[in-house]
Amino acid sequence: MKNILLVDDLGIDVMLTQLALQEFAFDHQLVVASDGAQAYEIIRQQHIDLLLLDIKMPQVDGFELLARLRAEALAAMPVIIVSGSGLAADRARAEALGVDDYVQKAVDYTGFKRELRAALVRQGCPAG
Amino acid sequence: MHRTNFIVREPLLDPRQRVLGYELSWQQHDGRIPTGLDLEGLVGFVAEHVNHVDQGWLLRDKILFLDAVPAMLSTDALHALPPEHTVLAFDIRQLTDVDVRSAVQAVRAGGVGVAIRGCDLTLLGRNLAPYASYVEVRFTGSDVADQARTYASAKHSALRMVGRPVGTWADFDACAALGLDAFVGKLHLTPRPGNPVKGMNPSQQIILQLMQMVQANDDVGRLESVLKRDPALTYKLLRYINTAGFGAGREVQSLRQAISLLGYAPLYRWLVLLLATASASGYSPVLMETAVVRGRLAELLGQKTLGRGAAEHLFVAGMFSLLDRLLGLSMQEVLDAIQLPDEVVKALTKREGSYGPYLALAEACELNSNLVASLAAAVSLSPADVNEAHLSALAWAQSVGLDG
Repeated sequence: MKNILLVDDLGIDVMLTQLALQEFAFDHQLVVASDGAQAYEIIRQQHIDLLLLDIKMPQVDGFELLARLRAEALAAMPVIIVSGSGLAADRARAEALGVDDYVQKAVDYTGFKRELRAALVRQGCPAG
Repeated sequence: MHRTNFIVREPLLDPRQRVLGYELSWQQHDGRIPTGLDLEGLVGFVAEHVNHVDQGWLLRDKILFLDAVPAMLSTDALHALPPEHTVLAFDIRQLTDVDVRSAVQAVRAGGVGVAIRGCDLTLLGRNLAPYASYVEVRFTGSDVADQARTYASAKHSALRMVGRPVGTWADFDACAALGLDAFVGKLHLTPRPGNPVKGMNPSQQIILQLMQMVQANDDVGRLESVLKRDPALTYKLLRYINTAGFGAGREVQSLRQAISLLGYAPLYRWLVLLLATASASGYSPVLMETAVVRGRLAELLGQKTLGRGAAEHLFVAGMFSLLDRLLGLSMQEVLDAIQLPDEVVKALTKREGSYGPYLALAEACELNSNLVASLAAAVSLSPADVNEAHLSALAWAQSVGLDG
């Protein structure tokens, strides 16, 4: 069983990502946080196998959380950015901060699912 | 699509079994899922038939739920529907695209309702309000009450929750108690165990007597003297006659005037309606409305080929087909109490005779049944004929003014 932490402030994106995870039908438990600060506390308190992280969020955004986690060596778990941003600058910044994968939210659900599945498989999740 | 497929309607009930609105969709058969174009066509067809140029929204206070695709967000037909009475239902997967989300937010800002299907409702605390006014709760497995409890506790105050399918009355009661706002399904066609309605009350006995007198072309004075025994009935009868456009061209103020203007035959239909609505306890608004729509639809379906007189009988057959449940009697008990033409009895008991196929077709429009096409073909009606009659019947049922 994989413990996955999804960090996203938009309810609709949380639901879409969760739906995709359900459809991949692999054994996982999903924890949801709506911003980086909340996610940071969850990571301090429980074991997380994989982090799915949005960039734009109120208060502590995805970049800030990623930087803090890597700096504090709190989280060695794989981190996949799941973002609507297709900007090369955002991708480069995420890579510089040590992100493991980057999924751009596609305009259609099928495309989004395909990208997310590929990233999960690359990070060792048996997404069917 | 309205020329090749049939509209299916399902009522949306509130916890008191009142009809909040209807979900209209294309009948699905042979695994064929309606395309985006089909769904756009549905909005156009509905807008054309229930939104009158002069009279406006013919479905009064009812809300229409329509299956939606993103392309519909910019169709002219959508703007022809009153936003406060329109809810577009999207699968959450269709809201991946940010442009679609922006369009959804725009129609929401314009007052159109949006329902989201397929979301995980344990996450309902998340803010969906910018995109949705309703979320659909899909029940699975046996413990519907337990699922409903989870959803109710997670409910976001800005969202209304629509449950489906709610398959038993026990589940309906559990969901209602837990605060779900609406229910979609055909549960109302299932008799409710322990329904306190049983038999006819004094008002209904009077109506029954009047029906027999009308059938026998009894003297108007004698009819009036019977009706006078219950002044509320006179008021209600005249209200029905006047609100639903009896065809007299002016307000009918007395039973005598109604008969002199229009004769006995049309009066019978209003007495049937009165009989069904005169139940004092255990009254089911949805069953009542279903009976009226079914009666009117059967009438309209038969009008072209069978003529006006037969169509009056078809209205009676349609109403009577649910009268047993409305009165808490068996159909045989209803038929024993009220003498009906043989063809109506054949239709009611076996869906046979000259009226049987029309009644069966009207019933089939309430179900997502493959039978609709064959039943329509059997009476030489095209899908367009049936769909137009269906929406017309739905509108007519609202004009009758069943509430109150």
